[in-house]
Formats: sequence, structure tokens, C-alpha cells
Amino acid sequence: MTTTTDVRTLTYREAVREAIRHAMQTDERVFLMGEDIGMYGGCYAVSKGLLDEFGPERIRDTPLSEAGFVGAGIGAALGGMRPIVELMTINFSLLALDQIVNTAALYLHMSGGQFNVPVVIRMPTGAGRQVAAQHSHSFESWYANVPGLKVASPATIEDARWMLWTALEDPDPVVIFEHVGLYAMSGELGNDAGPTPLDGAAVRRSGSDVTIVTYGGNVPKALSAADSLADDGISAEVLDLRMLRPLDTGSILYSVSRTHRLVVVDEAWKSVSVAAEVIASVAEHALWELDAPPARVCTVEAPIPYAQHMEEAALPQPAGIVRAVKSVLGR
Amino acid sequence: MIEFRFPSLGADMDSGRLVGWLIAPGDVVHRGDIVAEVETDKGLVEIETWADGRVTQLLVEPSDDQIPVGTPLAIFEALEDDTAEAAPPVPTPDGGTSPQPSLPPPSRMHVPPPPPPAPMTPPVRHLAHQLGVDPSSITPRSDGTITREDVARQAERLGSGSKVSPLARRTATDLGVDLAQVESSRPDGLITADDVRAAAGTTPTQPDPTTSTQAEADSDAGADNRMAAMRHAISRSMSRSKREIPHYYLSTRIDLDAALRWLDRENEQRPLAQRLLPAALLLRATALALREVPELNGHWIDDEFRPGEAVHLGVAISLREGGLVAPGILDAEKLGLDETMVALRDLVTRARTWRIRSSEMSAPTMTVTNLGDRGVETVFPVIIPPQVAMVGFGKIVEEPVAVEGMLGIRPVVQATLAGDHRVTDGHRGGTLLSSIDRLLQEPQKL
Repeated sequence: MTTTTDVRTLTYREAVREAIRHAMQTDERVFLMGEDIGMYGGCYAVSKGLLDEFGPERIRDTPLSEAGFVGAGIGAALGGMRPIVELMTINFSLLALDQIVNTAALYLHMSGGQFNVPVVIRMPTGAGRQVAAQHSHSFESWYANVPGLKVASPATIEDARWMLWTALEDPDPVVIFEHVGLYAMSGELGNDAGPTPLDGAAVRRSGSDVTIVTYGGNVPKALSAADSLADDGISAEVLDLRMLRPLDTGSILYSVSRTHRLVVVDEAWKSVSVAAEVIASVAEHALWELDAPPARVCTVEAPIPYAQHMEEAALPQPAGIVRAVKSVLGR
Repeated sequence: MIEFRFPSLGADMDSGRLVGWLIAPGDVVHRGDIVAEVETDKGLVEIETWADGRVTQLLVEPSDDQIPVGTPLAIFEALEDDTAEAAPPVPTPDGGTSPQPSLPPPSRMHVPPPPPPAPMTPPVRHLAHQLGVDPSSITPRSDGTITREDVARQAERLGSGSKVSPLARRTATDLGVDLAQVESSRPDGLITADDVRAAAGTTPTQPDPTTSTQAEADSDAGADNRMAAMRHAISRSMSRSKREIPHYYLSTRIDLDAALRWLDRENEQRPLAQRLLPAALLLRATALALREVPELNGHWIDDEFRPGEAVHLGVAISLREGGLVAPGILDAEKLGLDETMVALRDLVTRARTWRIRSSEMSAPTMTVTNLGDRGVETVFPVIIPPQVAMVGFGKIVEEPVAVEGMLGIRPVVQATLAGDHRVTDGHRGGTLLSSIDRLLQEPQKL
């Protein structure tokens, strides 16, 4: 157990900024590029101050051309650099899908194993900030579907601070999703923390009655639901997937084999989602451990509304998670 | 004293054969109980009593003789009050009631003796036997009796509808627990591993195999008898139809594109149990169309047509063991699509477990046969006397169809009508098929 002198408090946003700064200081091949990341300091203020610190050579504002600058990032990676490409929000990444899927993910294969693409692509994801339907998507499952990519979803201060370095050290493309609802979250970070792995889920709260599997911005919601459930005598385990590709099926099966009940919380639309993949894996490998039909808590299958009360109603919320858990438990 | 007489199961029925009694002297019966099986032109039918009473005498023995409608079959005596039911409960010292006057002497064995069977009226016992429900598995009511509802509920719980979690199944196998003995602790009835473990401490592991074997043998013999009786009934009814009814046949091709698209959209929003089958649309459209052509809906009796007062739509249901019954969905024109679907499911389920009521067998004013799932495209029905028409639907197939000057692939079904030429001509018959076609083009209005 660490004492107060061994930990400090910072926000998720500050943790990501520290991660970038640390990488830039440690490895001169690392640079950051994206729209409005320099002068403006980033759409979510992640890179604020970095231009002054590192200069325009390494903190590069790009034109509004996702396919162009993601392609440039891939080229730089092939040329020996370690680029961090920031996309303003997940919806703009759709303009760069061809570069990410057809080039970054496949180049090692298409070159007969000659060329790795060590690019890291970061982007904010998710809803809850009243930025309306086009800027509120959760398309993580689209990327998690692609062999050749690693897909990370840091949900804690520690992962926000330390996953980036592991990603930069990885020889292959890594896509990191930062949930917009997490940037302002603050928490403690141990001064002795270090790089966190790009595989493996993590139990964020232990429990024995039900496993709540989730990732990204819904981890805090699941933990809040678990608190309420504890008041009702229900012991919920919260499993943070951390990585959506490779998916840590083993940890899911291990947890479900102990609790025998499963609820998956995923901010994506339910159909063909990460949540669907989790339940399918359990059905394939641990059907005989299930003591009740699994449940999913996902976003209403409709464009995310702008109005605050409607947006809240459309997204997974702790109350809905509590209801789903109780239903699975037959209460 | 109440005389139970041989009921008429259709306006044209004048006699039938008593196949068997389901009651014995001393039994208490209630309105709606099945008391006997009879064979008529409609097939093998279970007949109900419309009076409450205690059976004092059976006047007629089962035989091959034709018994005229109206013949007294049994004598009931009126009940004093409800407490006369089966075994009167006896007060016990603790103020409760017990179905037995006294408990048997304590057993020398450590295992407690099985509880005495709770009183059931013979019709209820018969139902339990039919449904394969072990009466001792049912918890009696507070008055010590077991009713039809209790049996039906237990059958439902034990049948395919009972839900057992995968872990509970595995646990039951590991612990050697008979799942039929396990009660769910959840409001939704799901049996969980905890329920199995709770039961493991208190229930015997396996039922006595000898009793179930005997029950299966009994039920096989019963099924054989029923099959023979049904084949006989079909033979007589269809021979009469071909002998007496001058059939005419019409056929038309109906485009089901709109209907099936609508059905798909509708089903997407429904839980599995509430999904609609195309058959429900076809039945509903037929029922509505019959209102427009009333001369196809009714009976030919005594050389004249008697229009039906309502549309009791017969549905030909083939049984898994072979054979056919055609009971009716009563007042089908008043049922919405959902209700039609529910009625159809119910009818098919009960037909396949031999639980069709006499009123449903005699009621149909016109019958639909849907051979679609058998894979033929066109069916030429044989009218079931005394009805005067029958509609058939074949398999739904995709065909090239000219639509508004363009060629398209559409799902189509061949609808046929067999009409009784004594009552209608082809022109009126054609109106019915056209109406069915028109109604199916606007499925949302069905």
C-alpha cells in the first residue's frame, strides 16, 4: 500500500499529456500530429502547452484531411519514426479508415513480413458531452474487428498515463480510444507506476454474484452501479477489458466461471458490438457455467440525441446497469 | 337427478359411438370436465358435461353400436354444496385440514413414506395421465384437492416451456437430481443451480423406473386406439363428401410481397414467443373475406344451406403420428391478428396432444388447409361435410412476376377454393379468393 507521499492526483487529460511529454522526452523519433493540436492545444486540450515545449517540428498542426495525415503518419512510421497521430474525434476517423485498415493494419502482411507499421493513432470516442449525433459515436468494435490492429481502451488514470508508451514500443499499429467522459476524471497515480501491458483485462472491483464486463467510459458507471448493488447485498465484479483487440477472453471466462452470471455494458449500439462478442465467447466456451441468460446494457439503437435528458436516456447509465444485474439475478 | 345425454356435436349429427368412459360411479364432475370419448363423423371427440354432480350410474357401456343423439348415458345426482367434492377434508387437531382421516402408523424405516395421493376427480386424473404429469409431483391446494388448473400448470412447468439454466442442468447431472422435482426460487420461473442444490438435499434422486414404463405402455395403447378411431372417422367423412358434394375448384396466385415484408418488420420488434407466422395472416384474411361472401360460410343440412351466424374457421391440422383433425377457431372474424396467432398455436398444441374439445370439432363453418410446410404448391381440398367450402394454401414460393410492367421476383402462394355447387357457383367462389388477395395486400389492416 502506498502512502500519500507516493501518490499524486491528476486528471485523465493530464495523464495523457504526461504520457505524450514523457514519450517525446524519452524517444526523439516520437512526434505528435493532428488537427488543432498545436496552437489551439487540442480539441480536448490534451496537448495544451506541448507546442511551446517541443516546437512545431514535433507538435505538428495538420490540414483538415484525415486520410492525408494518417497516411503521412503511416509513412513516417515506415520511415523509422514513432508518430502519434491524433484524430479530433472518432467520427473523423471514418475518413481515414482506408489508411488505418488497408494500409496500417495490412502492410506487414502485404509486404510479406518486411515492414511493420509502428504508428499510434489516438482518438476521443463516445457520447455524453452534448455534441450531437455526429460527434458521439462508439465505433471501437469496427476497429476491434480488424486483424493487424491492436485496440486499446484506457479507462483509468494509470492506463491513460502508461498505455501510450507500451503502444509506441509495439512494432505494429495501435489504436487508442480515449472516452470524452473520462478526460475530466481525476484520480490517484502511484509514483512508482510504469508501462502497462497491451493485453489482459483487469478486475476493477471483485465480486461473487455477477460479472459486469465493460470498457472505457463505462467503467466508472459500472463501478458506481456496483456500489449501489452492494447496498442491496449484491456482490458485483467489474471487469475492465482494457484491450478490445486482442480481447482477453480468458479473464472473462475465469470471472464468469466464478460468478455464473454476466452483464455486459457497452456504449456502442448493441447489435454486432463488443458486447455481442463477449457474450458469444462465453456461450462458446462457458455455456455450462451460466446460471441465467446474460444481459447487455448498450446505447439505444438510434442517433445520439442532442438534448441532454434524451442523451442521458439513450446511453448506458448506472441505474440501467443495476436493473440489468437484478434481472439477471431474478430479483 | 341429472340425466347426462348423448350430446349433438353438430347440426347434422344424429348418432355416434361411445368409445370409453372417463368417469365411474361415485365420481364428482363439474361443468366443463371431460367425461367420455365418442367417435363421430368428425373424428374422435372428448365430450364435456354441462352440469355439476356426483355420478350415480352409467347407463351405456362402450361398444361399436351407434347411439342416437339424446340417449341418456349416465345419471348424476346434484351436489349438496362444494364440500361434497371427492374426499371431504377432515379437521385436524391443529385446526387445519387433512385429506386423510388419520396418518398411517409411523414407519420403521428412516425414510418417511411418500405422501398419500391427493384427491383428484377422474377427469383431472385422466388429464394428468394424458399430459404425462405425475400426480404426486403436484402440491395439493389448501383443501387437499388438485384441480385441472393445477395439472395444466405442472405440465407447463415440466414441459418444453420450463426454463433451466445451463449451470443448473450441469449441476443436476452432477448431483443426480431429477429436474422435474426442482422448484424455481425466481419470479420468472428459471431453475438455477442453487435451486438444484436446494432440491438435492430433499428429493429422491430418480423416479421409480417401473412406474414410468407402465405409464408409457398405457399411453401407447391409448394412442393406437385413438389413431384407429380417427382413421375410421376420416374415412366416413371424406367418403360422404365425395359421394354427396358436387365440388368445383378455383385457384389463384396471390402476391405475398407486401404481407411478408410487413410480417418481417413486425416480427423484428417482437419477442420470439409473440412472433407471427404467415399462416396467421392467411387465416385472418380468410376469416375477413368470408364475411363478404357469407354463402360460403355455413352448413348444408336437410337439403338446404344454413348460413353460419359467425365465422368459426376450421384449421386442418396434421398430426405427427399421421391423420388429421380440423377443429375450429371460434368467432375467428372477431379475433385480431395476435389473437388469431394465439388461437392457432393453442389449437395446434392441443390437437397434437389429443385435447380438442367437442365444441371446437363441431363448430367450423368453413375450413382452411395449409399444406405449405409439406412443400407442395397447390392443394385441392375435399370439403368437410356439412360445410360448403374449403380454402387451401400451398407452399410460399418465389416466382418471377410482372408488376407494373416490370419483372420482379416475388413470394407468391397458390390459393385454392373447393366450393359446394349446390350452394354457390364459381363466380361467388372467385369473389372470396379475390377478397383474400386484396386483404393480404394491406397486411397492416388485418
